[in-house]
Amino acid sequence: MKSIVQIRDLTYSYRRQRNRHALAGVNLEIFQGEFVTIAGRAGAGKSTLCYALNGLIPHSFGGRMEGEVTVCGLKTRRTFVPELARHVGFVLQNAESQLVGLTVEEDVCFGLENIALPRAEVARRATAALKTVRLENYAQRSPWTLSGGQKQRLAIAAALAFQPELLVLDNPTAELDPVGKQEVMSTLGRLNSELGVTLIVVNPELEEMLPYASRLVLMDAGKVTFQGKPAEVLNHTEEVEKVGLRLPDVVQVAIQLRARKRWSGPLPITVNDAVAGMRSLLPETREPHKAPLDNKTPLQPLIEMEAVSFSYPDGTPVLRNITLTVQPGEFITLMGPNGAGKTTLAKHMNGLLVPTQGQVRVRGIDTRRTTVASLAKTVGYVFQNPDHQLFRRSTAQELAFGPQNLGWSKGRVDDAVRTALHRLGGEERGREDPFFMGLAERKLIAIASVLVMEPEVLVLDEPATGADHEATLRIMTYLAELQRQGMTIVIVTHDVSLTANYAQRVVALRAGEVVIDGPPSEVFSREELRSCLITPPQVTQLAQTLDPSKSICTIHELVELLAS
Amino acid sequence: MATVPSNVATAMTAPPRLDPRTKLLFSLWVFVTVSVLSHPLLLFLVFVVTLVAVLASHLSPWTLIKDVRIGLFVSAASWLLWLIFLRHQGDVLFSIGSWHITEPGFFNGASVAIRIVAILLAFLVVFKTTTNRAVMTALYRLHVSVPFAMVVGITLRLIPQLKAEHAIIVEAQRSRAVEFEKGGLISRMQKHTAYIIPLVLRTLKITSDLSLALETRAFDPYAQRTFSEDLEFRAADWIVLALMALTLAAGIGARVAGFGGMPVAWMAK
Repeated sequence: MKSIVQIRDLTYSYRRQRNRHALAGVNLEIFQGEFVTIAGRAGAGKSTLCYALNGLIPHSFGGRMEGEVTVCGLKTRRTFVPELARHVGFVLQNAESQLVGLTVEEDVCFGLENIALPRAEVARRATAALKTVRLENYAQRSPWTLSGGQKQRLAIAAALAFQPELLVLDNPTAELDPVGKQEVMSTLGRLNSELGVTLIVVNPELEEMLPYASRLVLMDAGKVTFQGKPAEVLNHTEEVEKVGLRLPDVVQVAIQLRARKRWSGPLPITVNDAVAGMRSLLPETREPHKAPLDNKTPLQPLIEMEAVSFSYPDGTPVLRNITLTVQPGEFITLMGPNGAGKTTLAKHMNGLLVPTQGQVRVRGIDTRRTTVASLAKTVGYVFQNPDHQLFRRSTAQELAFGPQNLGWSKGRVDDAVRTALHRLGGEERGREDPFFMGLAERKLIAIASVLVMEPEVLVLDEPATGADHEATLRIMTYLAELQRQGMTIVIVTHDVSLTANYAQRVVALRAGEVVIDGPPSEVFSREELRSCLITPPQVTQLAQTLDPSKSICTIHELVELLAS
Repeated sequence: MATVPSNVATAMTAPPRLDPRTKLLFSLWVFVTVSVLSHPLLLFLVFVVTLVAVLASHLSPWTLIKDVRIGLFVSAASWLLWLIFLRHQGDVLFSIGSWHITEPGFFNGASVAIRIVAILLAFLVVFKTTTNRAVMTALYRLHVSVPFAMVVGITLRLIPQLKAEHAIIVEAQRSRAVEFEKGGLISRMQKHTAYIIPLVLRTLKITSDLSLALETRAFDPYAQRTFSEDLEFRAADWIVLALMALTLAAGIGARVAGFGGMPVAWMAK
């Protein structure tokens, strides 16, 4: 096979960070036709490595680069980015940040116009690229009206239009819903298997990547720590876990069964791989699944929604006749595809939006008859991106902001900030500047800055989006602890695994309506789930393939069943 | 992901389809004409021409008023200040109680207000009915440098995105019990830092990401490039251009000859 990328002893430090190596002695060779997945925790150097492949490093980022990178026969140190762009297609994590054109077609043409291709060739290549990603019918649409998955496919088309020999994608599915992820992954799979495009994809979601990848490269602290075919890498689970990655559910089940001497074969990669070996482990007597009886006496609901409908000023309906209550101490996830109305529903809980029909009551108070500031004492709302929320120069100031707005006395504000800082790890953290923290820390500060107002309900929009596995664990452990202390938690999320492991109740929405409402094990086994474009966790898929009567949604439950 | 509305209205395809260069030159014509002339009647005529352009653009008047509301506020405030400062100069036009509205105050204020609104409307109509790519191509064909044309194009592309970001940030801060509309002037100004700082930081992040995206798509401001947009002057363009040239020449000629200025009786002393 023809070698397409050669990286020799690549060491790199960003500008003004000379003592910190983002890449430290990387050696890597990629061959034509490969589908290489690069995985590792945040800060491992994955994106930096991608930037080195298309010349952004060193030409745009500056900094100090040692070693050599050769891509498609061109030394990146001596070839500028516009020239390399003809050979290396590049797709960034955030699809919206790449949109240049006012129409889909214009967006794809932009790059081709930059390399001064004749008009007819620009049009021909743009049409072909849009066809490849199946967006040919959207050519005259504004890219801003596309779904997340379509926007990312558009970015892929814009890169493909150059007819590159190599396509590099930096975490292209990180900000997408499950449907968008599926669209992008199947597009990439097709590009590789049918058109033979060489792909390098950064994606720490192994479950998503393994069915497609021909090679898995693990990175940590700027180094390549391990690489090989996916099955080989997974057999070194300690290497995978060492770099902060989450093993797919089926692999985790097999490992736990292996520890109990119930599994001796190679580790499975997909549900189908696992089914054959695990079917024989099912117990002979199969008790039909019984839903646990709920003996709790219903409490006075914290939030009551009665026949709530909401439409935009132009009349577009978003929520339709939703009736829902939130009880004290619940951990609820709101799920559904983009545009289902999850965030709109969540914003009704703290009065940011008020229903156009029906009523929302928080602690018995109609949200139309009060202010958001007043409701903030009962319902805290944490936005998806902490950048939208944090703006002060120290954590302590950030924490004090909400209570000050509520008009608390200085003494009470100081006490609340002190308590919040202790929860975050100590009073000394109050002097830290949130601006220089990593995403997980900033998310935690954003949560704490809302919690400090002592709400009874905490609503979070996509708390784990963009965070790596370890960061997600930190955030979710923090939330689980809050719930144990009596806090009511409502999360908007696409993450089925997070829902399965933490939520007590799932509300699945579709086109502004509640389709299913119940405990995760029940919801994930319901047929209607598919109409909400939600795929159950891998462990549920495995359990249902083994025995359709089983409603299992955690690894622990399935291992217990198979090991019994 | 946030849904970002387009800054170009659907009216961009509505007739009359003037060449983007004509449209850009129209906004420049309005700017130069209202700068050269200062007689309120002549300025009013230019204002009427911009209103004709608004009607021809098929844009919703309410949307336009919403977009220029800050300009309308500034114009009204400016007019009011002229009325206050020149209340003792010149002939009294009419009185409201003991407050005299004088000719210099009224007409000087009107001139400034008309200038502001006319310029704003002209630019808004042009940029709301022309795609970014057409603006960029037009600037290039008018021999404006590619980097400048790109800066204009990218700025236009960023406006709706930043508006969406602003809306999210305001909601995020309202959730932290900020009441922007309450309190005294100083307190309200302090509250606004709660969205100004995050918005500035987000703008930096968005522009930095965009510059990466542009580079990865081979953008080089100094390299030769293709412009796929077809630009062609038609009869309507030539007529509009001729009218603009004639009126501007007449305006400049009139001023040189001592006409078209503010009448002496209405001048501020």
